[in-house]
Amino acid sequence: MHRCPLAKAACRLHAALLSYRRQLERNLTNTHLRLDGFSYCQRMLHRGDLAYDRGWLHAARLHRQILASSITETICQLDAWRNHLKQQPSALVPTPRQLLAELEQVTDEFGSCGYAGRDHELVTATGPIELEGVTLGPFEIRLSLAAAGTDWAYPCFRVVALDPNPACCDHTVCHPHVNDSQLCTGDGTATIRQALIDGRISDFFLIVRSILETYNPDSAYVSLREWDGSPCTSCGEYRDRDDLYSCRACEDDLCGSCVEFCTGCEEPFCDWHIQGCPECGDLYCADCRDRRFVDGYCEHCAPEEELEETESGDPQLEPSIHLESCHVLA
Amino acid sequence: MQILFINNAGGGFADFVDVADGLKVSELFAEKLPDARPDDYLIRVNRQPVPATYVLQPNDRVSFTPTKIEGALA
Repeated sequence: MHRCPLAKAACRLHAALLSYRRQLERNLTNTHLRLDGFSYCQRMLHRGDLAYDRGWLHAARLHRQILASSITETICQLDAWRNHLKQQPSALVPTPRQLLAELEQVTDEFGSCGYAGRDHELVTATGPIELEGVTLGPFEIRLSLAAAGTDWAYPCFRVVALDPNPACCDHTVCHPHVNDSQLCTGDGTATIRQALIDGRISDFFLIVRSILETYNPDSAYVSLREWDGSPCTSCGEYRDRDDLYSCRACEDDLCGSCVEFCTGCEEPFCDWHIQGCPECGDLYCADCRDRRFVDGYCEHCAPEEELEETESGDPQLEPSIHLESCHVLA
Repeated sequence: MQILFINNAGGGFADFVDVADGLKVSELFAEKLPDARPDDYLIRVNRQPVPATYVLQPNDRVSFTPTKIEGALA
């Protein structure tokens, strides 16, 4: 086999897969050795039968109880053995030449496949990815070969944005299903695992690429709809959701430049649901105006006679303020 | 005849299966994934893309890999 980085990677991968496969076989053998409960059940059954034949009913009953417990324990042992068998890879360990063919296929499918010897990683890259009009750029997929000998324990690969366009609200999310270089594999989890166990490295990379090129709106770290933030209802500028206010009356989203705060309750409101005192200009929401305004003026600006009338309820005092300038809400 | 069939949809198994002589890869796809569209899959024989009319040969390595797989929030 010619000496090139991919050939080295193939040899290293072969050694790791072989090591893991031998470990699986050892685990299976250990389970087999512990499966002595079955013969114990047979002995208890035989002794119980003997006891019945001799009329030793108490002894027979005791052996039946022991038999019942032994059967339960044996079922657990068989279950464990069955689970070990389920973990068996569906194919033989690929030879180094077959693994090299896998890596060459990765090169054909992706345009490149490299071996970062220092990090013991196989590396390839997708093309530019765009989902629902949001450009996310290309992504590097880095598979750790060190994980090959440890049952491909998660996380055994990373996804790195090469031209990041992170979400407005979370800069660690460069893809709806990637957080801090960890891809959430969702529907592809079992398939990825099986491909790695079988040594089908090209299938692994293809499956990861398929996940990166698919958007699942029901389960994203950040939805694409909010990728660039949300628009201010008033001016239309996009802002991070954390930088937006919500009008207490109509729940419209407002940026810091468009929001107004009620002088009375200090809550945020939009232009439609807040109004100023014609004298001082202080802004008040509808509830605060009901409580604090007198004839269209805030409590600080209302004439004293008006305030006294309000307090005493005396109808003889004439209004001293012309009210034409008062705004009337629609 | 026997071929190695790799189905990367669902659980993702690889196994030798018996198929009829002269079976085309498109016919194998229709048989194994009757509810799926070939356009939604990468179809490879012996690691190469092939036309739908390719006639399978003994010991061919056939793989079907979906192009759309949903990820999820962890």
